[in-house]
Amino acid sequence: MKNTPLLLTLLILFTSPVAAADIAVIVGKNNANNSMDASTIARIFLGKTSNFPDGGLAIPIDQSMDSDIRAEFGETILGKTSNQLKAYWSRLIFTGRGSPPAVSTSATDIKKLISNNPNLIGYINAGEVDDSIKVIYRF
Amino acid sequence: MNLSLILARPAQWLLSLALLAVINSAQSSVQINNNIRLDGFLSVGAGVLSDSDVEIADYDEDVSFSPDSIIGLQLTSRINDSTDATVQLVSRGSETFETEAAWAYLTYHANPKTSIRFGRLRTPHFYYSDFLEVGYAYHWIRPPTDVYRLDIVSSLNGVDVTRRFNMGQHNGYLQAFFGRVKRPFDVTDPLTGNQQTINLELENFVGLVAGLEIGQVDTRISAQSVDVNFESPNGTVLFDGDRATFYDIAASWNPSKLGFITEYNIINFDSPFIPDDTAYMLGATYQLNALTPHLTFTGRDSDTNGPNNGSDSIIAGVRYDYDVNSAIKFEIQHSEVSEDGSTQSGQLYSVAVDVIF
Repeated sequence: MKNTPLLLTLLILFTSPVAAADIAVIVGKNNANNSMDASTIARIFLGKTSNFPDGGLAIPIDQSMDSDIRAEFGETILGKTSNQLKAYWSRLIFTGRGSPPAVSTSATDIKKLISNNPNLIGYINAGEVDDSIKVIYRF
Repeated sequence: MNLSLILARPAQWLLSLALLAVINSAQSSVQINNNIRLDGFLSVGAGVLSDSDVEIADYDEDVSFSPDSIIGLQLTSRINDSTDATVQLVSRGSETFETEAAWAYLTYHANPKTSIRFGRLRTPHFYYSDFLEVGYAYHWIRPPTDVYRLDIVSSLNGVDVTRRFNMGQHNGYLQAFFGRVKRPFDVTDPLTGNQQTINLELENFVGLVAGLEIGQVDTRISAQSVDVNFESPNGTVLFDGDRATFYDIAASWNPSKLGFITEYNIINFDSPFIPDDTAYMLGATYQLNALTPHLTFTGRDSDTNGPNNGSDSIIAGVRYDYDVNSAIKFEIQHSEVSEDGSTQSGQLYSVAVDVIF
């Protein structure tokens, strides 16, 4: 098969760059929790619990509405598309039962906020992780 | 922000706040220490009935924009660490866009799991009651009219307590309320055809709601009881403290792109003049990227001894989320309405745009 190497090259060319960058869920270094499962993270970001597994107050910080990382976090961890999330929050907002997480637009700001406050939890591209914060989940 | 000022001139505030909201919606920032939050919803709907023999959602044979058009603004102000004040101002096309405070209450967060609300609250009759007017929050243009009745008592003045709980990975809540309703409503005298205004008074309105989410299944039950008082303008006492009870059970299941919703309820009157009333719905949705086609079967049955009174409907439609804050919906409702032994049928064609900001 003369075409095989070409096909293979094309496959490699077009599949490998598509593999999305990892996302890291982060907390402050002074946060007592060292790891968390996806469903606990989802419950914090959906406002279903306001506590970390150790009982500490948990306040989520979201990425900006139209970012790719938010869409991927939403679909993978929260199990909802952007539209489903918007409808989910509209139900809570207009019943006075909750409001969506505060938003920060840059990974630098998120790291800065989180490194100063053990109650905060956020997510950033794994490539932007540094030693000012602690990774508790990665996907 | 001065709440009394807003309540005194709601229409002006509504307009200026709507403009403010549109300007602000382009921004996004960290609001961890923000004391005031503004949210709004807007629906513009139009519909037309195939013939005048049936009545569906206040539409008739001429295209109308009123019944499903609404604008609402909600202001939440954090008074201190444990107390919020919320006002929801709503202008409905069905009421010639007069502004009213659909909600106005104080929320006291006794602890992270328990909150107490005082003021004017939405009566939690149905699964969709809390966000009944926020079209963006659901797939229909309006929740099925056979099942979602009792419009007249959709808000009450009183107090409620909500307690959230966790059972392992499952989340739930219990809500108890106590209140009263006093409001005028218009009835048409069957003999003269004249419009009359009757004062409706509901006292000792008590109820319990329980919700539990188990994985992809969300369940809710509610039970309510109230003393009904009203008399006709000529002084005839139609209800004098007669007890009415209401039960509702609902479940939704969203295993993936496919979703199901079902709800059943009963209105029971101690008074022999008004028959018991039951209604159900059974529906499915399917999410196809930004498109959500849906199909719902509904029915209502009034338990009279004589001829069968009630209605049956099929609702088919599609919701298209064309932007992250906006959806456009198309819907056809076919209804068969039976009254005093005769059955009439008709279709309602409607379209709506729902926006939140």
